[in-house]
Amino acid sequence: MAQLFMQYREYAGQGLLVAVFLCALLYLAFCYRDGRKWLLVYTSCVVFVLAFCPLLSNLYYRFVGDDTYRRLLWLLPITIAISAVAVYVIQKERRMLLPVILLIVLCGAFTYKSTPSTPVRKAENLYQLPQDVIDVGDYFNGVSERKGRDIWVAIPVSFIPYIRQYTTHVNLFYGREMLDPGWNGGNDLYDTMQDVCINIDIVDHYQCDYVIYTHDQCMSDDYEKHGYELETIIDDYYYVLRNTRFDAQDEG
Amino acid sequence: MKIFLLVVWLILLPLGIGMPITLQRERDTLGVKAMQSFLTGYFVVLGIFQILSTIAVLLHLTMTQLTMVSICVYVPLAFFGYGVYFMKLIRPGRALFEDRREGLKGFSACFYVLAVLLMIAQIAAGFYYETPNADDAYYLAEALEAYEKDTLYTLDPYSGYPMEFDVRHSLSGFPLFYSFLGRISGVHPTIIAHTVWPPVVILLAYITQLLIGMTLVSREYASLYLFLIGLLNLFGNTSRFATENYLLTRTWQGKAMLSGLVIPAIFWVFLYYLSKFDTRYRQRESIYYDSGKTAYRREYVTGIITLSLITLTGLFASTMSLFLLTVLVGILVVLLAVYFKKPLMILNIVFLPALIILAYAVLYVFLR
Repeated sequence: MAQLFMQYREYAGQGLLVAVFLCALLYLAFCYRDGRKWLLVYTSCVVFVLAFCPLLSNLYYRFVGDDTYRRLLWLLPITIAISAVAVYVIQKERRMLLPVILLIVLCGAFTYKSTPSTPVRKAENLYQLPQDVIDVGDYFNGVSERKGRDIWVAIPVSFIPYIRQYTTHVNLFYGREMLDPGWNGGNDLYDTMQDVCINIDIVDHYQCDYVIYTHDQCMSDDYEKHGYELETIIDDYYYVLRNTRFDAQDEG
Repeated sequence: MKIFLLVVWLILLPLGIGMPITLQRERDTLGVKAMQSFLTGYFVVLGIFQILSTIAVLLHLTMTQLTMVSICVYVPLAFFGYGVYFMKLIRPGRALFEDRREGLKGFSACFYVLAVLLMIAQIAAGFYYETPNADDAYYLAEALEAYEKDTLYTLDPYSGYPMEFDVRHSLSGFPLFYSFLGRISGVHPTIIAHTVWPPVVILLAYITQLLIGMTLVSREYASLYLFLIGLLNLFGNTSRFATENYLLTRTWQGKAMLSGLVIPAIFWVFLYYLSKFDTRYRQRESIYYDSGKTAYRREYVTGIITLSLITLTGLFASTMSLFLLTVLVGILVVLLAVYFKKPLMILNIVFLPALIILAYAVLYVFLR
């Protein structure tokens, strides 16, 4: 039950808009006797009851297996009920227009305000991906075309969510699951790619075609001794090392 | 050329496909009919794509085959739709649309302008700002795998390794739809998802809300209703799980379509039934309704078809629909059956949508 309440709080945020919604439902419940009351008020009541029903939530967890039960609250017709009741009120008294608008603005929160969970930033291109990801992706598309196969790359951690949205000719040894706080698995290549000094023995072990590291990082040992060669530097920041051991194989 | 192809496939095709269903409904203004056709057309397009993509995934077909079959289904449907429209248009007799231009003045027109401006601002913000989300690493990489590798849910989107069948994601078709649009227009699926598709979803969400507004409040005040919806979307970021937040910042993800479009559309269908069959409601809002037997039957049947298509669109957006739509439709049916005191009439409405949900639930359990 405590977990359900926490999920409700996560959904409602500071809860002011939900409070406005509840007031709208009360207005509908007392002023309307037709089917609209049944559709909006009673439906919302049942959804609220189900949202806090341990039996249904247990069934849900057993069937789906994750903590997304809060999505049941999407069924609450919050915007529909608030807007409809606001219109009913304004219909009766037009002077209520400005207070209603102010209420919505003050009780809500601006959607395009950047937050850690939803960063909002100026789009750099039509893909709406970081431009450096596209520059690196373009480079590897060329490599993949030359070699006639997909290439396996150890990439900087910041590229993980984006690179395969741009090109699937780049294959990875670790993916987005690494960024998930709930992820229990480990990947030593991912771990070392986060370090300032990347352990080249681990990179060697994975037999990557390419390794990309940033200007702020370095390799733990002379990479040429391990068969790697600096092929290019992209955007003056990303160092691209090629594993020369696969050259003969690719040419063959 | 790419823009022309996208205009044809994203605007003209759904509009044509939705016409035969919409024209079965009672007469209305050209604007309302166009909105109904566009919305219903999208429910047909996305609903059919959901069926085709499910079959394609289960039969291990390729993206090329799925694209070819989809084109072969959509194009004749669109021609049929426009054919029906022109046949009805040239047929002598009563005009096809109502003329209510005098109703669009002053107060109402002012709020239509404000509502449209709010909607355009939100669409423009979708172009200007990027709101990255880690879940895209799955959905869009999967769309790109289909586009570039011609595979359907067989490669791990995070790494590129072959993967086991992922029933939870594979039964919803929306990533493959971006691939499909990419294949027919030559535009990269990530551009489709992040830049081309959000205006479509936002427009559909606003059309749904306007149609709800026309039913729930009077026609004169529907524009004010729409404006307030726009305002709530703009100031609805009360938490990262709020539906308004999903609609504007994760528009291309199925969850946004489900919460911002499909769930309101279900309310629209049931409100539509209410406005037609609830005498108390009709008297209070002075709603005129042709209560003849044929009109009644047509409204009833088109409502069932629309609800079934919305159910399929929900499944297209997310397998989460299996749970959410079952609960929502279940609640609405029970409540309305009690209210109308005609359980059979209400149960008939959801028979087909319930069968669709049941079929997918069986598939989900069987493939899990």
